[in-house]
Order: sequence, then C-alpha cells, then structure tokens
Amino acid sequence: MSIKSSNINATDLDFDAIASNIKTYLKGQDKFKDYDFEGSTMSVLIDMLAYAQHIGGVNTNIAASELFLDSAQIRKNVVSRAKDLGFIPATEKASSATVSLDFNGVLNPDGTIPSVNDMILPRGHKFSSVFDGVTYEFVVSKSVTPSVSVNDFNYESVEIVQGTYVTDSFVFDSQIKNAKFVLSNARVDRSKLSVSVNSAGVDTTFALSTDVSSITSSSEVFYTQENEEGFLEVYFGDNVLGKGLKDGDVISVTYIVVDEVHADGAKIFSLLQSVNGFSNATVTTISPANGGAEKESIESIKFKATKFYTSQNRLVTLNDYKAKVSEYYPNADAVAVWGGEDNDPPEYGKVFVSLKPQNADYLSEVEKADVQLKLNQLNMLTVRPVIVNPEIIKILISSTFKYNDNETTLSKGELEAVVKNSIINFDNTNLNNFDAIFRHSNLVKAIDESEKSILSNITNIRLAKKASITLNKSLGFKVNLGNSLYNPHAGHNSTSGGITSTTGFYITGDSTNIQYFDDDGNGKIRRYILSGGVRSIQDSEAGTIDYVSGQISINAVNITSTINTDTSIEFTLIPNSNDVIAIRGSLIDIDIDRISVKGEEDTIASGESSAGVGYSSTSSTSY
Amino acid sequence: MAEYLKPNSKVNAVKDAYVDLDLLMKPHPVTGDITTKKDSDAVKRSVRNIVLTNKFERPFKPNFGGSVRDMLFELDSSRKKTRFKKELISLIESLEPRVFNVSVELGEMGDSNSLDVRIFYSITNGLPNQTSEFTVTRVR
Repeated sequence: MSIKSSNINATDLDFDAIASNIKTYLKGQDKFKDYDFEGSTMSVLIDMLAYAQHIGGVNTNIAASELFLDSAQIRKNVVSRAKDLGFIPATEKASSATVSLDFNGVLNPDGTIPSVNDMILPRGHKFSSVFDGVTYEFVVSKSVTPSVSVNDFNYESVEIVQGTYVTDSFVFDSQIKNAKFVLSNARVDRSKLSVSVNSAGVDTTFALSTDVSSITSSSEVFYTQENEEGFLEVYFGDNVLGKGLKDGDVISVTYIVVDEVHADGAKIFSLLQSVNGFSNATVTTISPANGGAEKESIESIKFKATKFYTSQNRLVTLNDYKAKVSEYYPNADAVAVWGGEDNDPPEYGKVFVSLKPQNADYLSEVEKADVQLKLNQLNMLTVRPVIVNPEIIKILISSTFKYNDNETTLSKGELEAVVKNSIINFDNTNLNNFDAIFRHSNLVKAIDESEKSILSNITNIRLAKKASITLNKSLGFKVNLGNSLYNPHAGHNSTSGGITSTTGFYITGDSTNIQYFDDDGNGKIRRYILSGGVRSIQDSEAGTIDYVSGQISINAVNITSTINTDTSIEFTLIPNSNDVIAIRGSLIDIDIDRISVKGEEDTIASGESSAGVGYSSTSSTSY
Repeated sequence: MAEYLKPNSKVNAVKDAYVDLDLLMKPHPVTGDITTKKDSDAVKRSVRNIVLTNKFERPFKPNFGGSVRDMLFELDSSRKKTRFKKELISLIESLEPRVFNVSVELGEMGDSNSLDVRIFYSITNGLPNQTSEFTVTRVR
C-alpha cells in the first residue's frame, strides 16, 4: 500500500515502532527496495532515524512531565512548580537544645568583676556534646546577656544549635537585574538565617518575609528560595514589596551549616571556648537536642504544596492546621488536630494540636511556644490554638510461643530475640501515628510468621499510661485510656486489686509507707499500702473507674513524691478488648523496653509426647 | 531484534530486485544523485555490513554484527578460528535471507598484523558462488 509522506506516523516513542513506521512509509516507493534487510545500508539509515526520533520523543516526554507537579521528577522542577502554588519547601533544620550556663565567683586577674558586656555570650560561641560515642559541635544561635548577682553570671535559656556558623558577604549592584545572592553552602537552616545590610556605614537587620500581606515599600525584609542547584538564595524587595537596596550596599548573611548527622537526643553539653577568658562554667541542660531534620523531600513537597494551596495561608479547617503545623515543624512524625468542642471536657474557642516529633515523644517547651506563636498569626480571631503533648498509651506485651525444635537451628534465646524484633517492627510499622489501631490478631500473625519453626503463640496485653503529678498540693487528676476496661462482673478480682495496678508514691502525713492504687471491681479506686506483702486499704474511695469509657478519676490527694523519677504515677490496666484504639491526641505505642517473650518447645510437634500427655499451654488471660 | 519481511521470490526473479543506497554516499557523476547498489552488489554490501559492524554499534540491536575488527589479534588458535567462522556463518544466515551456502575463510595473520576474511555464498534466485573479501588491519 502506498503511503503519502504526510501520512507517516511519527507519534510513536518506541524504537521498533518508529522503525516499523518508516518501513511502512518506504513501501510506498520503488526506488529503494532493501529497507527490509537488516544488513542493508537503508536499514542502517532507518535505525539512525528511528533512534533520533526515539531520543527526541523521550526527551519531549520527560520535558512535558517536568512541567507538572504530579509527574515532575527533578527536584528543581518540583520546587519551581511548588513555588507557583506559593509553597516554599523546608530547608535542613539543625538540631537544637536549650541549656543554662552559670559562672560563679568570676573575677578578673586584677580582682575586679567583669562587666555584663564583657560577659555577653556571643552568637556562634561553641559547645560540644558527645552522643553515641561521637562528638558534635553546637553553637549559640543568638547572643545572650547574662544576669548578674555580685560576681555570679547566669545565662538562662541559651539556645544552642548543631552545626557551624558561616557568614557570606555580597555587594549590591543595581546593574544586575533581579539580583539573587546564592549562599556558598548547601545545608543551610533557613530559620537561623540572619541578614544585615550595611548602607552608607549604617547596619540594618533585615527579617525573613513569611507573609506578603503585611509588607510595605519600606519593610526591611528579605526573601529566600531554593535555586536550581539546591542552594539557598537570598533576594530583596523592589521598593514596592519590601525595601530595595542601593548600589554598594554590603549584605552580610550569617547562617548555620547543618551537620549531616543530627545529634537528636544529646543531653550533655560542655563549653568549647571560654567566655571572656573564663571557662569554669556549669552547663545545665534544660531540653535535650531535638528537631534536626533533612531538607524536605520531593514526595513531601508534592504532598504538602497542594494542601498548602488549599489552606491559602489561613487556618480554618482541621486540615489547614495539619498542613501548617507540618510546615512550621518539618520534623513532625505525626500531627493530630481536634476542635475544642470535641475535647473532653469541651473547651469552646480552642483548637487542640498534638504533635509527635520524629525522635522523641514530646516537643520541648521552646518548640511548643514557637509553633503556637506562628499559628496565632494565622488563625481566626475567635479561635485560640493550643499545643498539647500527645497522650501516650503504652501497650505492654507478654508473649509465649511454641516452636518445633526440629525445624530450626536457632536456640531458644535466639528465637526469643527474633520474636522480640518482629514485635518491634510491628510497632514501628503500625503504631507510629495518631489514629492508629493496635490489631491484636495482626501482631499474633506477625509473631507466628517471624520464624518458620514457630507454631503458635499466646500474646497477652496490658495498657499503661502515666499521669503527671503536681507534688505537695491536694489535687485530683484523671487518667483516660479511651478504651473499655475488663470487668466481667461486679466485684471482679476485688481482693487482689481488680484490674488496676500502679507505681508507688508517698502522701503527706506518711513518709514511711509506699502507697498504690487498685480497684474493687465495682467502679471504685482504692489506695493501699503493702504490709508484709498483704494489701492494707488506706482509702476505699480514693477515686472512681469507669470500665466502659476507660476513665479513671482520682480524688484530691496530696502526693509528696513518687517512685518514678519524672514525678508521675503509671497506671497499668487490663483492656476489655485485645484491639486498642487511639483517641484524639493519644498515641498508642508498644513499650519495647518491657516486651516479655518466652519460647517453649512444642513437645507434640517435636515427637517427645503424644496424645497431649505432658503438654502444657499458656493462659490467655494472665500477664 | 526488529522483524524483517521475507523477500518475495517473484520479485527477486526480475532485474533490479534489490536496490540499496551505497554506504559511501557518493554522488552519481551524471545525475548527481547518491549512487545505488543493485542486485548482487546490494547483497554483497549487505553481507559486508553485517560482518564489519561491531556488536552494540546499531541502536537497540546489541547482538547485530560480526565484530570482525575486535578479532584482529584474538584468533591465535585453530579452535578459536573455527568457532568464529561458525559464528559468522550463523549470523549471516540469520540476518541475510537472500543468501545460502555460506562459508567463511580466514586468512593467516602472520606478521602483517591483519586479518583476511573471505565469505563465499550463493544468492537465492540469483547468482551462485559469490565472494566477498576484505582485510582488516590495525588503524594506527
């Protein structure tokens, strides 16, 4: 069949399909006939043409894909598409800690007391911390002026961040249109960026612009963005949206270069440099290092940019809060938001935000205040956001498994380690988020499948939750587990403490006996002491327990100290269901330090006993 | 590898059954068009193209070609030569359906640092006992 040249199909991308199209076209002429033979020169030319068209087609396809946020693969294009939606991806974030510093009895060599100005702790002053056997360098993020008492100098709440301080200087030249100043290091924490401009000998500090609606022509602000190479670049206003610069202005950008390994969890810090020649300081950690995060990933940008666009930089719906909190605190592992009307008890006019960092259970107070401050600037006037710690319900696991000794080369101890690891993996995979559900049968299955010799397992659970105690005040408190508790009949297990056990504490007026709580199976919480191993009830109506809602209320009691070092009492209870759900701002988490795993050889499977003689099984209710 | 169409035997019987471009791409002295190779010359050129093409040279056809140049200093035993001959024959028979009775002769290299290749074949519905001969030498 003869094909006109205008009819040649040039839309295929596949090499073979393109070559086939060209051959079909060549069938329409009779000047050259050897195009079908692989060795012919025509075939060589056809292959070259098809290859060129194939490469061209693929390149066009890639270019077109990169035009859209959903299909873009190259970071610079994803960032650029996100910029269209007004979304600025998060940069690396340095791990930060808060310490206090005390210099006592400070005297100059001549016997005088140094002035406060001499003792200012400058920005960039170095600290060090050894964490997991590695030394990390921290620097002071802002200069701190000490408070003085005679010759004692105290620096309260010094924020130190992990990394190195660097200053880049640029000179502004108006001949360069649309000038942007690229920082010379890649791993820059934008939140710690400090920009000052020296214009005709006068230094002015510029602030990072976050919301364009409040910017005027004289606002001293700078903007940042990630450039095509992934470096941060700084640029300034145009005398309309922010103050513009003049020729010869010297721009100094001071920033922190974030280390590649984040020392989140580091608790012990020491001074690396002396302050005004004095180095005998006492460094006290107020909050350990946390918050270190990598640059926002491509997947995260794609996910958040659309959410950000939907929220339009305003906090109205719950998802607006979720999107903004993740933006303000990129290191968040999980975010839960609920309205005050859904709180228990209801608190109208508030929005509760619960946030779990990646490497810790709770945010530090400084981080909490920081996120709350930022949220306050965007939320509706009548609504007040409140950051609360996630309530963590620990699941205590006790598992006994049967295994066939003939099916494995592992020892009992090694098998127990395998099972423990599979429980930890289950925890990491399934329970690291708000709204998570602990599904007992899935865990049982995971244990059975952790090694081929494991035949069955009996896995029992308990729930544990800590209540923070205010010492030396007669106060009541509540512990809400959010899950029904086991109470098969009125008065269940009354003599042995019902289903409740707690860690110990001391109350006012009795510094000798350790007190505990239990329940009577009839909805009453009792306080008791152990006298010769026997419970002696001190208060038979110390509080109430609602087995259906899972709520415990303790009446006012003046607790003077607790056995737990973090001034808390931990309640351990038996749930009514083996499946556990997390409500509102609570997280459920398997307590990996308290997993109890015990292996038993299956005597029937290994042939040691038959007909069930001598075979023992584990109770499904004991712990 | 791309499928090729079997040549039509009826077409082969007529003159100018096979017409191909000349790989040298020289203009015809009179017409100015690129010169063509026809019939047995076209087949000869095709066989030569197959044998002299190196593997991985043609896009998306990694196994196409005899890679004779790669064998310049490799064929130092009769066993290697025999195996290479078989490979060449198999390659020509599979890629060039217009020929049959293919045999290959490899000349002694000696101290000349060159490899003489002679290929004997007959053209289907065409001339028998054709020879394609060329010498591979080092480039520099």
